[in-house]
Amino acid sequence: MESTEKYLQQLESTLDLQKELLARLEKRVEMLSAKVEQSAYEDNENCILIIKTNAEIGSLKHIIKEKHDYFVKYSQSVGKEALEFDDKFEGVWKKATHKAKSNDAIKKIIESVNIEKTKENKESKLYIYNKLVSLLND
Amino acid sequence: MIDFPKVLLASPTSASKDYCFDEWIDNVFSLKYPNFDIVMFDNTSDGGKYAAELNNRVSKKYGDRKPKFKCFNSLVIHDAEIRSIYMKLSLSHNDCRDYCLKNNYDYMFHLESDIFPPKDVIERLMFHKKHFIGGMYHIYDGLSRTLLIYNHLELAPNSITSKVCTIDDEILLVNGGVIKIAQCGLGCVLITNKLLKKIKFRFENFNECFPDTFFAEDCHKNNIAVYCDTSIVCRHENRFWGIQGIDY
Repeated sequence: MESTEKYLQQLESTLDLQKELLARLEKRVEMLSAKVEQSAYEDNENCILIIKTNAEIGSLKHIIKEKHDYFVKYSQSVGKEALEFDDKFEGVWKKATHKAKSNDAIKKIIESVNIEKTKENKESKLYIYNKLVSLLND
Repeated sequence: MIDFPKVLLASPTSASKDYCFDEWIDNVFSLKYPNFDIVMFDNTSDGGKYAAELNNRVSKKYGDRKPKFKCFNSLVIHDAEIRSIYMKLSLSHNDCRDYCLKNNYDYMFHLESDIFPPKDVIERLMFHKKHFIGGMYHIYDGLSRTLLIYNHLELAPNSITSKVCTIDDEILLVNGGVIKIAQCGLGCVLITNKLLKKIKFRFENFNECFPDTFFAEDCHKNNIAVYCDTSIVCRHENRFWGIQGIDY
């Protein structure tokens, strides 16, 4: 449970910049809406900017909500696995590299994977890990 | 009486998407646009069983209610030997296109069978009067999840590589309005009949690119701009790629 929450936090952190932007856009609307003495032209320009900013806010809110809902579901289904398989990856990779000499399906995966790139991406790494584990168990 | 343009909501599918079909079809039947029909092209290798099952399920639930619904099996139609996922998808996309042209629809709203758009999506996309305009949805899993918008396509001698939106790009591109882009996915796009007449969906052997990319590339070659309405954010109910393998 703890690792699921930790993974969810990790996922949610990818939304930090969007959330900051959202707060700043909302602040912009607040500042533009404040009563200050200005020309009719400036007032009109402010109103236009408020409309455009609100459109941007609407879209950003949708994206944040969509991703958040997805992250909650995703972390519940793979959270524990995603955090705990890391330690086992090297061992499985070593075993698979050895078995690739006599198993074409494993060989195909080993040869097609850019291991350094894969290690940088948790989801790809998990995908390859699961594939190899299932082939090793066949 | 307003004459609303005739729209075909077209969707390739397969039995592997059945996990969300009931919810998807309910969402489609709740779209507000008043003049559209639904057609699905299933590419399951089962001799048409799944397509028949979908026709039965929808008929039981919705009867003769509009929009009209039909599902066909692409593989039964073409009796083709499928050599790749790219070929399979291309067949179904083209079946959607052919059906749209043959039956004189003004637009094809191409909606993938795991995409859930807002209920007013068709009229909102149509409002912009573009030949090719899409809504947004996310792809990939976990930390890699990002919007399926490409800000540029790179043409190499034998391949196209497209650069998907990074998380930072999302912030720069998405402004709540309509923007010109290199490519969006075919998961939620409105395409005019005129454009469909000009461009077919295609794939290339030995080129691991989806028909989405080729279609966008062909649009650019024909000087047709590709647009995205960044106010439309759809839910993408894709299975988790990391666990269950790649799911299209």
